[in-house]
Amino acid sequence: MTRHWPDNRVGIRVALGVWAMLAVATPRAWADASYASANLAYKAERYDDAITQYEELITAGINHEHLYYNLGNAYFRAGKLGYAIYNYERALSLEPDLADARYNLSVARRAVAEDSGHPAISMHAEPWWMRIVTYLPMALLALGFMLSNIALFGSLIAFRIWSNSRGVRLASSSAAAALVVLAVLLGGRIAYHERVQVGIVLPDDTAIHEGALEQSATRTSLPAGARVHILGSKSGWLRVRLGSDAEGWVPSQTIGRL
Amino acid sequence: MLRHMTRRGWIAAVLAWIMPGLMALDAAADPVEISLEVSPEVGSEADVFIATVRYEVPGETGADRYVPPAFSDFLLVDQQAHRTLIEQDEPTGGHRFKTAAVYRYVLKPSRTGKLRIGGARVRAGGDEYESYAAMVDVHAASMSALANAPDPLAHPRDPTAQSGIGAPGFVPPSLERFGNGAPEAFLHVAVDRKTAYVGQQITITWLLYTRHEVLKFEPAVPRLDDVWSEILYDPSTYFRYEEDVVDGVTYRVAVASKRGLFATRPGTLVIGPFMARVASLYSLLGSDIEIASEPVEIDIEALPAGAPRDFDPSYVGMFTVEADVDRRRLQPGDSLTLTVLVRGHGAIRRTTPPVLDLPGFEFRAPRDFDEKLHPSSKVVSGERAYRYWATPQRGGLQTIPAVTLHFFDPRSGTYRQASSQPIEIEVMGDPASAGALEPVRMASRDIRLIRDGATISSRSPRAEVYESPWFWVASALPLLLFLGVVIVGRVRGGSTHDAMMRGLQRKEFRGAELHLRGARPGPFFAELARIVTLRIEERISAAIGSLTRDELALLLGQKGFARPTIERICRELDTYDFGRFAATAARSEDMQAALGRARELVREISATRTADHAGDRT
Repeated sequence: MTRHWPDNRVGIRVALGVWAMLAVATPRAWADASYASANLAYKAERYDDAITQYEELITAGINHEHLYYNLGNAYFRAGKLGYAIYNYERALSLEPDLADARYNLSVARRAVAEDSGHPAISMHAEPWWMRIVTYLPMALLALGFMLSNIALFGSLIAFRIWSNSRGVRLASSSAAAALVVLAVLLGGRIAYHERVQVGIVLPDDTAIHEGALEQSATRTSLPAGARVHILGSKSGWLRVRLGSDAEGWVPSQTIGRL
Repeated sequence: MLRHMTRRGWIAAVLAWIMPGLMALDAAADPVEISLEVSPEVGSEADVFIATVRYEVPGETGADRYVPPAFSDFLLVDQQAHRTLIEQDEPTGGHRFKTAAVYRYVLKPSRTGKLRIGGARVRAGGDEYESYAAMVDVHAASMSALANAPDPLAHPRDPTAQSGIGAPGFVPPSLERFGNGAPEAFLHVAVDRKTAYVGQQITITWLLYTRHEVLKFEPAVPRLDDVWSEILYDPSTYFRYEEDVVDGVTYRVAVASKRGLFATRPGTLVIGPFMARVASLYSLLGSDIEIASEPVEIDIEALPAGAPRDFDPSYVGMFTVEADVDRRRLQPGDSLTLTVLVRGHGAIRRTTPPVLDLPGFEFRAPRDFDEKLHPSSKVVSGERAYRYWATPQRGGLQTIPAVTLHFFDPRSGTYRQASSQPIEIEVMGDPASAGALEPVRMASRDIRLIRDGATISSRSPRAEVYESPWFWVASALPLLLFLGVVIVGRVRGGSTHDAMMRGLQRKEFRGAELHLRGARPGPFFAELARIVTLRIEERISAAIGSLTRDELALLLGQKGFARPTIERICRELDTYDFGRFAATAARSEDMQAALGRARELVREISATRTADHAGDRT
């Protein structure tokens, strides 16, 4: 009687498949379990525990808008408004249409204003060019650019092939003007997105120093959640700009980078 | 007369008697307040004194007349005025208005001794009110160690004094340090004092001496460690030259930089050389000259012992402080904004907000401040307005105590105090009573619920539109399409001009089509003749309207038209002439056929390679 053993190659493939599934499933299972545990801690009003577990997930590399949103809520309940605002902003950077995060962000900013006596801060007055290029969403600018691009060259083609009518000339002039404006706005928006780094002040009261030294003179202090532009770094300090004029240095750990 | 008074007259007379009394009662209930304060009350003849007049009068229009104090022993350097309208609630309902005015005078004493400043006067409601006079004790300049510092503009040889900038502590330079020969240019430094207290202003001026006008000047300001520096003067675009003779050599002199320095620690302050790369007319053909001033050492003394408990070392100089609130009547739990205005001579930008610890009020540290520096080439001065959020802790009439500020006056070598005036406010009710609000708990604020999904996984941030290569491809497509049309058009059918003409022709044939549809043979054939004639004229660059057929045929032959084409042209033109003048003989079918032939003829004319269009592609 001849006994046939199972094909070793099949066995190896099965083993590899199981190992691959485990390799993928184990971290995924841990993440899901941690997330669920953190949510339970939040609902039980153990906000510090929830914060710890949410932060562990982020440290492990989980990057999801719901995670940041829940973490923002936990910080809010724990009274750390700067951290709450920072995490709401992180959630919105991943998913701008997350309405709950946007709503809670506005509540947090109002809370900062009420507690500190400082006006609600969403952004210190930015330079005028930043306000102009960020007024419209990027997608809308890109769409407008493409449509005006099509309109311009379409009218030029029509001008060339069919008719030299006044209407076609007017259409091409208008499309050219629109294209120039939208190209400038889109270019400015791209430059802003690429070069301007925004940070959120985390602690309740952060003093701005004139130099990158603890003993350097302080100018003013920032409330939690204030939005600043990061210009540079040096020896554990960040050079930040508030709006269009005031600049100063703050410790790196007081700013959450977006 | 009384018998003849009407009823209205009696009412008017009674009112005329009553109204002044009512107004007087009103004025008595709300008297005019006027005060005069001077700060400091003791100082030296080199000091600046601030006199402040405040008054409040009922009504919205202010005082009928204001007479400022008499400053007979002072020189009035500057003055400012500010007026506000205050609204007060009546206990019985309604509102009452008051006008408050503040006049601020900056004074320099003209002599020493006990000087009197007469009271200010206002006239309101027919009465005149006067404040008390103020006495100021002015003594001679301090005899402390700092008093033997040279008078800032005393040296007669300071060449920059004429320009109004000046170099305090100027000592004429010498060319000895350069050995033999006079250098083309050099830097000379002047310091107004060789000893100073920590935080006291040291004025340092670097002077450029040059034999010829400088065309290039690249400065390198020395590193200033442990020093707060304020620029008093820097030439923005050009130097202001004066002349000076140094060891028999004539030089042009200009201020290269003038700074106010404030040492931040005691010891020996070493200010390194001010360096610059210079090129002048003389050195233009050669290399740049590097010049440097000599270093300077200044002894910095620590502030003397005996500083008040809340003294801030950044307040060295001369300072005044004023305070004001944005409202004087509050409801329980309300807060007000207390503005503290600190003015002075010194490193104003180094100063920190005064710490307020006033009984009966809870203060929050100011979040920001307004700052003004007063540009001057002689002294660093300015003001800062700090805004504090203040909450009264008791009800009823309250007085915000005077805000005091301790500073060190280096001229007298003593610690002094500047104070504001106390401010009266009224808090309706009692903030500590049951009506006060409990602190809002964070947990009770309404935010939306967390997302409680079963799974969580990482995902990448949404890419922006411009980061997709397809965006750029889609943006380039219309341009590429347009270029394709242009290239194809040039390959297929002649110049852009011809393409335009084709467009024009189609438009022109539309006119003929309209005549055809309207059964108007005369205009129809006239239009065809015009189109063909125009096309020929453009093609051969000559007018043909006045030519006979034979002449036209000859000309077309010379221009390169083929014989059959010429015959067709002449035949069709004859047809158009016949059709124009024998319009009734033309039928619709004939007109339609003529239109078709005209289109073909025009295309044929366009395609003909003539002498004028020999380079065109057909």
